[in-house]
Amino acid sequence: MARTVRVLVPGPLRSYTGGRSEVTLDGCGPLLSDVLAALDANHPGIRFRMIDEAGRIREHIRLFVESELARELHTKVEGEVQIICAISGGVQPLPARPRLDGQNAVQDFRIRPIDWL
Amino acid sequence: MLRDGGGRRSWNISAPICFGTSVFHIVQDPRDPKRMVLSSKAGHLGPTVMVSADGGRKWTEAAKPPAFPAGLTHRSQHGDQPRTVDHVFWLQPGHASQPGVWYAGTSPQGLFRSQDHGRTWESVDGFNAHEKWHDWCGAKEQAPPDGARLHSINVDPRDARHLYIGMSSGGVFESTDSGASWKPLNKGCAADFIPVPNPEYGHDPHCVRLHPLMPDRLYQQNHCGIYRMERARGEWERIGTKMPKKIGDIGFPMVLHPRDPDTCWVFPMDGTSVWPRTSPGGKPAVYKTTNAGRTWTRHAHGMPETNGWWTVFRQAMTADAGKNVGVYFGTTQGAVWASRDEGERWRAAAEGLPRIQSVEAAYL
Repeated sequence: MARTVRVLVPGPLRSYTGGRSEVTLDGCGPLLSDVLAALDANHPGIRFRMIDEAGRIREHIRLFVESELARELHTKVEGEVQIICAISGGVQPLPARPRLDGQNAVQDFRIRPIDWL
Repeated sequence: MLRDGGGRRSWNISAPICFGTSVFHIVQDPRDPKRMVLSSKAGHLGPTVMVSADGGRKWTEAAKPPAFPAGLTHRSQHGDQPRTVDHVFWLQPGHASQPGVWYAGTSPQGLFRSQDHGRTWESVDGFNAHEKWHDWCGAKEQAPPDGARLHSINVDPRDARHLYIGMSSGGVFESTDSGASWKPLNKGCAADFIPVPNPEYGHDPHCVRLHPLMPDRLYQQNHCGIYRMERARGEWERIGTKMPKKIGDIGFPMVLHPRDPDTCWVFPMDGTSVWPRTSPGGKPAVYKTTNAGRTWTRHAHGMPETNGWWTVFRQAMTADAGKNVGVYFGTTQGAVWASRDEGERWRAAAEGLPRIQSVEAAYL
């Protein structure tokens, strides 16, 4: 079913969105890959900066779907995708993560991004 | 962009272009001087290419940047990995008879061609998908620390099909059929980091230049010295042995005089132990030959006499086409130095910039 998805865009990618930190996409397919395709159709070139030619999420990009880290592009999207430019670093591995709400997800990610790989 | 403020004595600096991104190469199209192409990579984002059709005022992203075709792999200690472009390292306008054609070299080592002034790029599969690519280019972990790069794309001015490339993990290669097939061209060149005597490939050229007025002469600044090849002879001759022993013949750039195939400039770097990416002894200097490498002279007038702990990358040194040729280089510490008398005397044209990857002279 086509849906409307809100995409939060980080600073380094806002040259593609006319400076906007948030864009809304109408008529998206159900998967993250569909959302990125729609995003690229509206803002040409933005997808390749995040996803390489082998279809992998680039090393320093994180995509959160409904505040959960998405590891695969076939993740289902309900209504929101947040793009994060990872801050490289990290100190020690965390145990397997429980489900986090959006606020904590971003905080943990900024502190220990490596743990999520 | 630094613009001549008059007589190449002073330079006016523009606002930043592609602010916040690493620009590995920015090149003007000699066939259409308002056109330029640059390669760009931001910290978190994938690589791309930008094009300008108005002398660098407005830049537009390539609609299809260089990307390896699906199915190509890169060997690694973790098994074969999909081969993907990390960054576009080198840009080269094509032959004068082929307006709109450009070549790009990438890391990992790949060759790409554009036929529309850099707007869209296609893989040169004769190289990228060659059955010996893995042998020539090695596994991922065999690359230099900054990544293995395809650079020094030279087009023979007599024949658009005749190409040379340099690979920092592979050596110099040649194609006579527009890139459909390739063969190594490393005879006579040392590769003392390879435990095989006189290997056919696997060398580490840093910068290879073909002289447009003498296209059968090549110069090379290599990881293992400075070389010249006369194609009739077919072997690299180490002309860096004539450099002072305490300076050595290690460095990155190789710059040719636009009208005199016997004259070129190099910028020596400390190659004695850990390769600290500094001038030997912290005393930066350009070395120049006017006799194809039989003798070299030191030129450091105006440069720091001590504590010049920087060097110059391979794209970051160039010459203009002035009556007295201007020579320019950008340093790893963010200064641009300029000489208006063929490299004899030097002045800083700009300081306080980020690390400089690329310096090119352009007439607008």
